[in-house]
Amino acid sequence: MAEVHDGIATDGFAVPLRLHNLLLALAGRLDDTALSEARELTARARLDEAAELTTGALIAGRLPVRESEQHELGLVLELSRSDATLADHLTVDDAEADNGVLHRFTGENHPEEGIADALDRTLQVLPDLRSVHAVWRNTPAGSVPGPLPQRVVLVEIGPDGNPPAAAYRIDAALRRAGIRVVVEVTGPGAERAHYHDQARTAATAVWLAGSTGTSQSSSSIADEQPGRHVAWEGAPARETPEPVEASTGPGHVFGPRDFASVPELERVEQTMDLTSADVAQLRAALAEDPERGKAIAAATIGPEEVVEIPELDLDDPQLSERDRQLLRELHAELAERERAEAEKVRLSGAGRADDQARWVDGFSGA
Amino acid sequence: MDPDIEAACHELLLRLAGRMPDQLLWRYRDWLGEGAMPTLARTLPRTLLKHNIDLDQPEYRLLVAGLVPHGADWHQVSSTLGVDEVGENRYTFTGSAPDRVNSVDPVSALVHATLRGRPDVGEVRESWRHGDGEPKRVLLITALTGLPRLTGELQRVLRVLGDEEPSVEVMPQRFDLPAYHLAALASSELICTGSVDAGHRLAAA
Repeated sequence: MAEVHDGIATDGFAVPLRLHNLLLALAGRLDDTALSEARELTARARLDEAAELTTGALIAGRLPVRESEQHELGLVLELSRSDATLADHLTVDDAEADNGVLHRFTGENHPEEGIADALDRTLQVLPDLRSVHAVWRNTPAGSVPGPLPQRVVLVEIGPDGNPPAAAYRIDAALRRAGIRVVVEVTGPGAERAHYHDQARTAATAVWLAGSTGTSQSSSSIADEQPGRHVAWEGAPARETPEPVEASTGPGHVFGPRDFASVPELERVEQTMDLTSADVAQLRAALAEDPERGKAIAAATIGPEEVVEIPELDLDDPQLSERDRQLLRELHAELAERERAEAEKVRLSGAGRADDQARWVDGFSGA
Repeated sequence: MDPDIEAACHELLLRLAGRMPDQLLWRYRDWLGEGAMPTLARTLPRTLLKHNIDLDQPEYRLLVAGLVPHGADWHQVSSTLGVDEVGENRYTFTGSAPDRVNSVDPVSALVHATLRGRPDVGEVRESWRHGDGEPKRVLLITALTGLPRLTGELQRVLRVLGDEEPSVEVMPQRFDLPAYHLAALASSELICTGSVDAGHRLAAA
C-alpha cells in the first residue's frame, strides 16, 4: 500500500505541520478527545486518519469553520489520500468561527499538580522545549465534550522542536501518569489563537527552560522565576490571575475575538534573550561578583564577543536559593546566546538554504 | 434520512462492539446519531480494513445497504467481506464493578433519572466488561425508535461524567444478539425500565 504524503507539500509546508496548526486553530471548538487523538495520529504518521477524524467530528457536530480552514482541511485530506470531498460537508461560517466560543480558564486549584513529576523524563528528552504551563478550563468544547474542568497544558517550543511530536509525547506521558489533559504546543511562527492567549493569561507555570520563554501578553508569567519545576518550589508561581472574560451564562460565551496585532515572530524574538536590565538584575543578585555582572550587562554583547562567566558553582554555601536560580538562569541565557550565534553563523555559511529543514507555519488561518 | 439505511448502519455498529476499538466505535455511533452519513460512508469501510475487522455476510449486507447509497467506495466495501468465521467474544462480564458495590454511582443514578418511564424505551441494564485494562461499564438498552439518537445522547452524558469512550448498546426489539451482547446481558443488572412493558425484556429476571 502506498504511503501517504508526509513530506513537504507543494507550497513548502509539511502535511503534519499543516494538520498540527489546523488543530491549534480548532482548539476550543473541537472536543478535546478529537484534538488529542488527531495529534497522536499525526505524530504517528497516520495523517489520513487524523484528517478524517478532524473533519468528521467537525461535520457531525456542525461546528463552524472558516472558509480558509475548509480549504486547508480539503487540501490536507487530499495530500493524505483521503476523500477531499468530505470537506464540502463542513459548516462554513467565518463570523461564527471567529466570534464563536469563548472559554473560561482558571489557574486556581493547582492545575500544575503532578505534571512536573509526570513529565520529568519527557522534559529531559524532547528537544528545544521552552516552557510548560497548566490551567483549568471550566467550559465545554465541541459537540461531544468530556468532563469538566478540563486541564489544559500549554507548551512552548523553539525552532528545533517538532510540534506534533512534542504534543503527542507530552500527552502520552501525562496519561500514563493518570493525568487527563489536552496539550497545546505552540512554537515560533505558529498563530496562537485567542483561546491560547486566554488560557495563558490564567495559567500557572510548571516548568521553564533557561530562557524566560514568555510572551508579553502574559504579565503574570513574566514575573515568574525561571527554572525547573517552577510550581513546586514553594513560592507561588503566579500572581493573581488576570480577570477572565465575564460570562453571561453557563457553557459557551460568545463575544468578539481580539487577535493580537503583533506578529508572533516578533514576540518570539523578544523572548530569546534577556534584556540588559534583566542581566544587570541577575548579576546584581550574584554575591560573588556584582561589579562584573553590571559591566557585562551594560555592554552590548556582539556576535563574536565571548563573555567569560563565573563557574556554575551551585554548591557555594554563600548563595541563597534565589541566587542559585538566577545563576542557572544566567548560564542558560548565555548558553542560548552562544547557540543562537553559532546557528546564525551556520545559516550564513549555508546561505540559508536549509530553512525548510525547520518546521514552519504551514497555515496562517487568516 | 431513510430509516432502513439508518437502521442498517445502527445494527452494523452494534455488531462491531467488542471488535472495533471503543475509541473509534463511540465516535462512529455519534456521527450516525447526528446523521453524518456521507462522513461515515467515506471513513468506516477504510477503518474496518485498517483494523483488520472482517465482516460476515449479514454484516456485509448491512454495510452495503447503509453506506453505499451515501458514497462509500465500492472497492473498499467489497474488501471488508471476510471468509472465516467472525472471532469469538474475548471479554467477560460481571453485574457490578468490584470496587463500587458500596459506593454511590452517579452514572446509574443519572441514567435512571433520564430513562425511567421514557417513551419507546424498554429495559435499561448495565454490565461491567473485563478483558483489557480497567473494568468498563456497558449500558444495554432496548428501544423501539430513535436508536441512533438515543445512543448519541447517552454517550454524551457518559462522556461528561468521565467515560471518555462510552459503551452504549441500544438494541432494537428484534435483534439477533451477537455473542458479545449475550454475554453482557447474562451478567447484567437492571437500572430501570422505560414506558415499554416487560414484553421487551432483554434478559430473564
